[in-house]
Amino acid sequence: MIWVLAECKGNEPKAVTLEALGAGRLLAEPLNLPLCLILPGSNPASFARTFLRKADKIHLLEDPLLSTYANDAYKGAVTAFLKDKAVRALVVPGTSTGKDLGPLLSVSLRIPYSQNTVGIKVKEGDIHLSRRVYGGKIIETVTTADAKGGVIVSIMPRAFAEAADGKTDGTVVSAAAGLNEEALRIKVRGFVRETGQMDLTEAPVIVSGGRGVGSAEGFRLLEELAALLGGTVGASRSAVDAGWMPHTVQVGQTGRTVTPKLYLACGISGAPQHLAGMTGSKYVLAINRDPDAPIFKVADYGIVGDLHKVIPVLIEELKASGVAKVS
Amino acid sequence: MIVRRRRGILRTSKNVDIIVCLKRVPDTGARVEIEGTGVREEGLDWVLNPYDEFGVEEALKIKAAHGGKVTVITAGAPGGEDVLRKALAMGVDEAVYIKDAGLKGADDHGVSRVLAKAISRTPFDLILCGKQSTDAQAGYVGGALAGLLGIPLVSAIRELKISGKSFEAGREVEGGVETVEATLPAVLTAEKGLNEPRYPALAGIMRAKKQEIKYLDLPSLGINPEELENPLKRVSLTYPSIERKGKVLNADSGSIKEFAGFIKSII
Repeated sequence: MIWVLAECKGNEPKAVTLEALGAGRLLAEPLNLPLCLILPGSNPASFARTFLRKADKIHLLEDPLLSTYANDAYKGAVTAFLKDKAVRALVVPGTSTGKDLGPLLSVSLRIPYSQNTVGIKVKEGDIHLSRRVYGGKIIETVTTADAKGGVIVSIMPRAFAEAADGKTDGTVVSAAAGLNEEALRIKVRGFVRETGQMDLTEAPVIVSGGRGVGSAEGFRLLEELAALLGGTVGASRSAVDAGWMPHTVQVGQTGRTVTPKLYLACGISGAPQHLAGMTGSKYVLAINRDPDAPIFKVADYGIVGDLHKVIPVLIEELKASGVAKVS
Repeated sequence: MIVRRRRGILRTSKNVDIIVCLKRVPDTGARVEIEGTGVREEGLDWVLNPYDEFGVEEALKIKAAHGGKVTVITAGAPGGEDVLRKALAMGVDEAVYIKDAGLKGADDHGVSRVLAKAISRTPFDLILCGKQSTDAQAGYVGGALAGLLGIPLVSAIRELKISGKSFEAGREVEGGVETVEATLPAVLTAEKGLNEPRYPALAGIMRAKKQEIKYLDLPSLGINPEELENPLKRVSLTYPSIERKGKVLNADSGSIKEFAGFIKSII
C-alpha cells in the first residue's frame, strides 16, 4: 500500500498534506495500489471529510497525546499502526515535523528514508525518487535495492501539485494509537512565534536582499514591498554575515531552501551557494546593478538598476495598479 | 548529581560526557561536477560540515559549564583526519576515526549503524550531530542514532539549557521556536544560530597535530561490510535545469512599469 502521513497544525491538516497526497498518487496509480492516509491527532474525525475524495482509505489515529506533535508519541503511534501492514511507500511532508520523524520511522519500521524528494516516477514497477543533493546543485535519482521493498519518501514542500479530487470515495476507519503516556520522554512546553514573520518555507512571495541592500535599514524598503505583495523578507548569506538580517531568514545552501510562487532577488549577485536555495521558485525576478550578475541567468525577469531607486518606483506602480496580495 | 548505572559501571558525576559526530563535506562554495555515476572529488575543497561545527562548539560550551569529556567521531573512507584535527584544534579531548575501505560509498543508513555500534561501546550522556550535512542534506544520522540507541531525539535546536539530568531545547520549526524538555542521555542536532563556532587558536592547531587519533575498523566493531549495502541504489546524477531565458531590461520608468505588470500578472 501507499501511505501518506498527514501533518496537522493544532487540530487542522496543513496544505502540505494535500501535496503529499498528490505525490502518493504518483505512486499508487502506476503501481495499482490503494492510497491510504493516516490522520493523527486528538480529534482527527473532525477534518477527515476534507480528504474523502483524495484517498482510498483514511485511518484516524486518535489519541489526546497526539494533539501536539512530539516525535516519540508520533513515532510510537505510527510504528504500532504500520508495523504489521504492507508498506511500499510512506510519504511524509518535508517540514520540520517530517524531517524530525522520518529517520526515526526509518529505524523503527526498518525501511530506508529518502529526503528532499522533488520527483517521483514508477519505471517497470520500480520506484524512482529524484532528490536534491549538494544544495540542489545536483539531482540524484535512487531506487530501492530490494525491488519490492518499502521506502519513506520525504517530499520538498511545493515540489508536488496538490491532489485533485479523484474517483475514489474514501472510507474512514479508526485505529488505536496505543500510546502509554509514561513511556513518552519528550515534553513540548511551548512555541514562540518569531516577531511577526511569516515562515520562509511557507511564504508565497519572498523579497530577498543581498549585499547590494547596503545596511540593516535598507531592508525596510524590502519589507514594505514584501508586505504589499503578501509575502516576507529573505536574505543572502552576505547580508546575514554583515549582521543586517537574522540567520533565520537566510536563503541558500547553509540556510533555507525556498520554493515560493514569486522570489524577488534584490541586490543579490547569485552565488551558487545562494542559487542552491531558491531556484525551485515558480517565478524568479531580480533587481541588480550589475548586468552580468549570475542571478539574471536564473531569472524570468530582471531589472538592471539601483534597487534603492527601483523599488520605491515599483511600490508606487504596484499600488497604482491595485495589486492584490497572494492568497 | 547524576547517578546512573550504565554498562555495569556505576557513574557518579555531574559531568556531561559528549560525543559529537562529524562529516567531511565539500565546501559549499565549491563547484560540484558529475563524473560517471559519482561526483568528481579531485580539486574539491573539503571542510568540516558547518552544522557539525555548531555541534562541536556547543559541546565545548557544555564542557566549560558542567565539566566532562568531549569526543568527536567520524566514519568513512580516507580523509577524515582533517575534520577530526579541526575539532581537536577547537579543543575537544578525543578523536575517533572509523576508517575502513568497506565504508566507501556507504550511505547514511550504513554510516548510522556503524556510528551507533561504536558509540554504544562508550559511556556518554549526550550525542550532538549537525541537523544535516551540506552535501547529502539528508538529516538522517541524528534521528537514526536516537532510534538505534533507544534514546530521545530533539532535532534542529537553536537553544539549549542543561540542568542536571534534564535539558530544555529550542527547536526551529516553521514560523518560530518550539521549546522541548527531555532528559539525558539524548541526541540533539544543531541548527544554525545555536552558537558562533570559535576559530582554533594557533596553540590549539599545533597541539592537535600531535594528538593521537583512535582508529577503529568494521571487523573491530563486529560489522560485516556486506551488511552495509545501501538500501537505496543510485540510478543517476543529473544537473537540474535552473537557467531561465528571462527578459532583462535597464531600469527606467517604462521598464519598471512593465516589471510591476509582470508581478501583477503572476500573483
